Amino acid sequence: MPRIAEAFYVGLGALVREARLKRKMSQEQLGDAVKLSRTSINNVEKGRQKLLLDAFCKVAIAVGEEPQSFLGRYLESTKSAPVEKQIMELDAQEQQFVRDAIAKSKRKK
Amino acid sequence: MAIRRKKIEQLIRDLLKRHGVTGAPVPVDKIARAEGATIVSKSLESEFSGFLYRDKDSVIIGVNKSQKIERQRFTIGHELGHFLLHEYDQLHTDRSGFQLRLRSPKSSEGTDATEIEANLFAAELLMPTAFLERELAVGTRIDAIDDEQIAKLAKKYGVSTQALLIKLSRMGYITD
Repeated sequence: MPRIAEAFYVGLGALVREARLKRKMSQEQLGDAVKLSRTSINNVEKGRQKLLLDAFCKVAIAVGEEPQSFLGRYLESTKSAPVEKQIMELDAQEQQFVRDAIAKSKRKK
Repeated sequence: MAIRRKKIEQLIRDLLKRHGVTGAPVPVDKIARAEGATIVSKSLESEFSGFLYRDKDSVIIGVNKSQKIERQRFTIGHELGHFLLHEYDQLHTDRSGFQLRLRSPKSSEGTDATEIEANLFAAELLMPTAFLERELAVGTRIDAIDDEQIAKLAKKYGVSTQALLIKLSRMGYITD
């Protein structure tokens, strides 16, 4: 996958993960809700599996998000936030590390 | 930006005093935590050595656990240096080899100056000049110190022998 596309799905996956954790859902529960396996959900969250548009909408709804605003927010974040821009330049594993750490520190509050 | 060597040395003296550190090894992780940072680590396959993230209510130092422990300590020191010396970036990431970039073509630019400062900070924190001066008699030449002694000293300070040799040469224990 070209790097930019890879980064896109890694970023989107991280956002899905963040929303899922906010709803206190397990990967399995999300999988059941959208008819995907837990492994698939895990791969989606890591950016290794690309969601088709209909599946993306289902996932967004399942984690309590409006699909259009969910995607909109994601695109906005990649455009404006310097942090997001920097994270996008990292490889998939590095992105996960940085995103998890930031998300964790935010959840603690 | 000029390299603020004196400021860094003073900052470290204060830091060591504040945290009651009087000998090696310097507990760099404890100091970083006491200064308000949360340390997270993970094994990464890449050359990514660490990052510093800060927002209005948290400071995170991330370390690549797959690198050697001496390297991880240096990374924590390096990121702590960015935290205490450089206020701008919300996220700052580092890759291995930042020591090797000291004389890159970008040296005159600001980014490299901040990296040099963070490296100086880490080196001084892990190997405080005053501590090393106690170890080595005045007038000792580095070529008179055998490899075994260097390795022992590096182990005591929890640093790589390479980092120790750079530090000793900066302190004037090596002459051309």
